[in-house]
Amino acid sequence: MKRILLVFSILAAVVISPLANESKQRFDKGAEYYRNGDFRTAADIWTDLYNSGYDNFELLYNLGNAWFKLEEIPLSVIFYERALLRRPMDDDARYNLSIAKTLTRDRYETIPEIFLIRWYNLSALALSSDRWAVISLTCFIVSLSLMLLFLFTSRYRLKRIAFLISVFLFVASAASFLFSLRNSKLVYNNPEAVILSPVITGRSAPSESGQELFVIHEGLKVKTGEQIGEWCEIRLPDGNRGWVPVTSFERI
Amino acid sequence: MRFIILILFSSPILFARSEAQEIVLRVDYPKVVTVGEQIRLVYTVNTSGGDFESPPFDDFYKLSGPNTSYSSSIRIINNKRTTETSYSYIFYLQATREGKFTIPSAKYSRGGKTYESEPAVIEVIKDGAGRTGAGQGEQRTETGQEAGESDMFVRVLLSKREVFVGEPVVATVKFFTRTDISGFNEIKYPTFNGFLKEEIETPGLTSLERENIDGVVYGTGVFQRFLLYPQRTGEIVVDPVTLTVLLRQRSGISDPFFGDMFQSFTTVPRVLASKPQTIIVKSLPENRPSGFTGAVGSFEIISAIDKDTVAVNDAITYRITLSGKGNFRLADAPGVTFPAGLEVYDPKTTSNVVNSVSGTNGNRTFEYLIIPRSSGDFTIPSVNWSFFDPAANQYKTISTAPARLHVLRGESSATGPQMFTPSAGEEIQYFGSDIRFISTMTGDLSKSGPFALSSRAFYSAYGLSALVFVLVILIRREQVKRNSDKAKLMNRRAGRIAARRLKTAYDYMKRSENEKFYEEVLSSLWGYASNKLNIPLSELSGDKAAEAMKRRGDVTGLSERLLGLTNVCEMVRYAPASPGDDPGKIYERAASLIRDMEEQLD
Repeated sequence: MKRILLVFSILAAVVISPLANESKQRFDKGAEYYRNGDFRTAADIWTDLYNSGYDNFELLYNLGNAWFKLEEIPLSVIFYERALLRRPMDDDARYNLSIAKTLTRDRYETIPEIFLIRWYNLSALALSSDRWAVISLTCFIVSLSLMLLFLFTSRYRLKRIAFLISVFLFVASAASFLFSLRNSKLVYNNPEAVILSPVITGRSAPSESGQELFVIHEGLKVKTGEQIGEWCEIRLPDGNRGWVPVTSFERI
Repeated sequence: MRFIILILFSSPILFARSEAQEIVLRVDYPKVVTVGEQIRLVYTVNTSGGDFESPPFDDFYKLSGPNTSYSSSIRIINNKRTTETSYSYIFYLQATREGKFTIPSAKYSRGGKTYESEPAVIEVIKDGAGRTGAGQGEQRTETGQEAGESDMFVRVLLSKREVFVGEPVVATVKFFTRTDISGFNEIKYPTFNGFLKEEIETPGLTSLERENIDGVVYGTGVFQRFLLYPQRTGEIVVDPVTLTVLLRQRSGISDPFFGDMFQSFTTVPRVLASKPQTIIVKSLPENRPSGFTGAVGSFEIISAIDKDTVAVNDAITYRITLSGKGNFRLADAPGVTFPAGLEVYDPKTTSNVVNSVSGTNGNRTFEYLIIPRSSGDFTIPSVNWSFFDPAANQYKTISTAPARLHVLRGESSATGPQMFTPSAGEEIQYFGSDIRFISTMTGDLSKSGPFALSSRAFYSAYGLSALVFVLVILIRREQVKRNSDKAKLMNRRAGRIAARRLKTAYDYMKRSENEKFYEEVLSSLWGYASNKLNIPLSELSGDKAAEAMKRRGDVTGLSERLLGLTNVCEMVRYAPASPGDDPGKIYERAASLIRDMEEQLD
């Protein structure tokens, strides 16, 4: 049994570590190009890394910076937003996003999010979906164990403490499961999108014949809704809705 | 070595001698003539005493020659005498047919050496009205004739018709004539609206040159050349040049006796104007680099700092020099971002440019006076300067090298105790905003995704732990149940064991072994109670038994009976002298008690 474990761990080390090393090297290479002012190559390297499935705050934040330097403001907004979903309170990313937003054309009144939802989202984003899931499962198992202790012990004080902690952990497990779900939705299935087309007209119906409602420009963050064919309903930050072609934006 | 020195010393002498005796055979001739015209071909050699060999004149008819002429001049400058001699061999030829002909080189040999002249290329054109060359050998039939439009005109010749904004055009004001003129008056150049005009130095017009214009031989002369730098795009019209020519005209009727010989001439002024012309000016391409100020041409840039180590408050000079070719007037000072802490004055600009047909050449220097106000190391960053290169049709950016400056702390000039004055405090200077730098930490770079939520194992783990929970409870319950079954069994067996014990007691009673009798009764009672009530013997006490019995449905005072009986037995056992009950009675009571307990307790 021990020998098998050893073989497995060696295999894992051989397979995983070069991969991790290689991606790290690519990341560092991109950073070097960026330092030397070759933002195009840096962006290409990082985009490649991102497209091959690697994903963390630093990568997304750096991509945002590279696009900003290439004056692709909408793309930089997308990547800063994505980075902020991984680390919502990061100071640098928030600052850079605010600068990138000053370079977009549209100004608008934002409807503030409800306090509770805002905190719910922020808590959900504090840890990754997987972390929340692991916490939820651990809490669940410990809670059940304590419940068993409660049921079978004859010592009164122990019984009481076990019961209280068990109930608390059960609630914690449920909450972190919800956080995990919320995190997964925000990070991997976010309804928000950033407009990429320089100018786009929002229409009242999902076709070219729809009444023109508004004109928005690249870099604006909107919320996507229902999709019919090549058209998608979006909601502007000020609450107005309209239909735009699917190709005119990219989801966060 | 000695050899080289010898050469070095002797060479100036050699050169001087050879220079003095350099024999040159020069040829002068009109480049364009008309058929039938007389050509004067002159070979001149600056020496004498050699043999001249004339070339063959196959394509021309030789009228006369060679006629030699000799001239010699002696100059004495600062008591130094120089003698110049020249021999001329003059031929008069006549062109017989049209075409371009080459007269081969003439040869001149002297002292065993042969010198050759340039071959003469003469273009012969057909022109019935050719009257140039002061009418040599030609009879003029017309008298008192007004010179026509095509006899005399002035033109502005443009080197290019289509240029970029800022790309120079050479405009040549040229005069053409077929008649005699005695002079010029009042040349009026246009203002060249839309252009920046630079004059090119042009030698004064002393003699006319012969040129073939569309088959007609004209005497031509250049008045002035301009460099025109277009300042705006579109079609720009170059306004006409006006010029007053003093024309020599015959006056009166020719003398019947002396012919033309004594003809009198009058000078008539005549105004000529060139035609307006159009230049198409293209705008520069759109992708202008940031440091572009409108310079067009080809440039180089260098920067220099006169001192790289200075004390605080000592002035230094930083120069940026642009050199090359192009519209220098538009070459503004490049934007230099000097580091904070240096006081910089507006640059002094000096230009050193020469206009020529190829454009404006030279350099332009921007001189910045810098006074460092604080010590430390400063770097004046490299300056980017952009221009448009019309030859390559693209923008080019050139840059200077960054200059480093080390500023030392100024020596305190004050003697004696120095007063310390606190600095007035300065606001931090902000220059602009930029995004913050990238993160260089790799962090936990791994492939990610909502693995847990999308994996079956995750949910199975919940199910599994719940299942284990339920299972543990079930097993425990089963165990409890089995334990309670064991108690029941003991309960059932309790009567029998007690009966057996009582039987032993009965035997002791028969044998009158009272002590053992009581002991046996007691142990049977307690053993029965222990089994029946499911309380271990070690934990059993009277109170506990009573309590347990009450729980199990003792309503008729069984516990009191048990306690009473055990008390009696114990009393007899430990105090044998006490008047105990009759053992038979005790036995009866014990047996009935066990019977009742068996019946009433469940």
